[in-house]
Amino acid sequence: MTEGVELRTDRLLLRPYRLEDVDDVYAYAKDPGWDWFLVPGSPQPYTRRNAEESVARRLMAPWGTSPSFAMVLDSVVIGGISLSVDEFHENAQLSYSLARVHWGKGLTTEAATAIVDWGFGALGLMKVYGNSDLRHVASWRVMEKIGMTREGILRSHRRAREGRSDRIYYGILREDWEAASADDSGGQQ
Amino acid sequence: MSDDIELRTKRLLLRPFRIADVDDVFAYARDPEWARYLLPMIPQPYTRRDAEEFIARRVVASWRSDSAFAIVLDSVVAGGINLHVDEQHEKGELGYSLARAHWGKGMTTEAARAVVDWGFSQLGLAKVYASADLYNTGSWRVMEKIGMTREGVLRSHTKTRDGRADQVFYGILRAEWEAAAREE
Repeated sequence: MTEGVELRTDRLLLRPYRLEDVDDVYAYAKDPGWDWFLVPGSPQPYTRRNAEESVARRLMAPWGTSPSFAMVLDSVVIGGISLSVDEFHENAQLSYSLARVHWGKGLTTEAATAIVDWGFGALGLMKVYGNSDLRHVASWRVMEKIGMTREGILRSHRRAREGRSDRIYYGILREDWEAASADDSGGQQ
Repeated sequence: MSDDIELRTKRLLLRPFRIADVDDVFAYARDPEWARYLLPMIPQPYTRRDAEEFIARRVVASWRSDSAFAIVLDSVVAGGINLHVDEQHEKGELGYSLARAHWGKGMTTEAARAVVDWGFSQLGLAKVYASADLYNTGSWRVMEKIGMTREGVLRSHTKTRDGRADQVFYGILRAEWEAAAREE
């Protein structure tokens, strides 16, 4: 079992949510610009009750198929990152969100690299994929930076806060990840 | 609710599955070739019990979110076609399968057109999409014939009998369907 696992990166601690994370989550999620591309959009105005429900849902989600990590920087929760695992097809969908004040520092890329490593290494997945709103360039750039390949653009695939959203899909296969890992260790020798 | 809806095409009747369809479904679904590329994976060997469970699921499923039609040719069920509706995002995922004896006659295309028309006109969908194993050329050719556009190939996305499969996605948007309907 991997329940209760904590992952550490250069700057971040990734660990399961706790009830006391509500205040931190509320602090960034009430920012109306934060969830512009998240679908379904979070309620507006965003209340403390919404933050409580969000943390509660993450706590209750079955860890085996929905591992959900709080991203912690200097003891403060600044975002979340999760996998949605399809055990039969041995793939998982990666999702993430980050407080707007921390955008542009490579923190999501750092967290996503750790989660993808963990998904292939500890969970034995064959594929990890993700998708985002095509207009949310920063989000899909993360997927490119962690070595994912663009696999398609599903047009008008979701409702968005304004109109509809094209969803851009990226994925990384186990063999891609293994090859990249081999490159990394080769570089250290 | 219109759970007694029937659609008619030149050669076919599309109507909800009934308990009495078990024998017809078992007759084509026990063919391992029929099931080769289908998702979710079909049990092998396929027993009459599997056909009974399939029918039972169809009979109790919510028609509103998963409209599943039997494809009836000359009073015999020759396949199935369904539209899985995501109400929040106003889209429907089309799925279909046809008895191997009837492959190559354009019957799935005929049925798919009728269901897509129904999804846009009666359900008010903004998009209809579908996916298939990339090796299942017969299946995604249907998507092209009914005016869908290829939107992506999700590599190694599913597990299959023989390993893993690339899954090709096609879609048609409401505006495209309306433009095509005007031309006809």
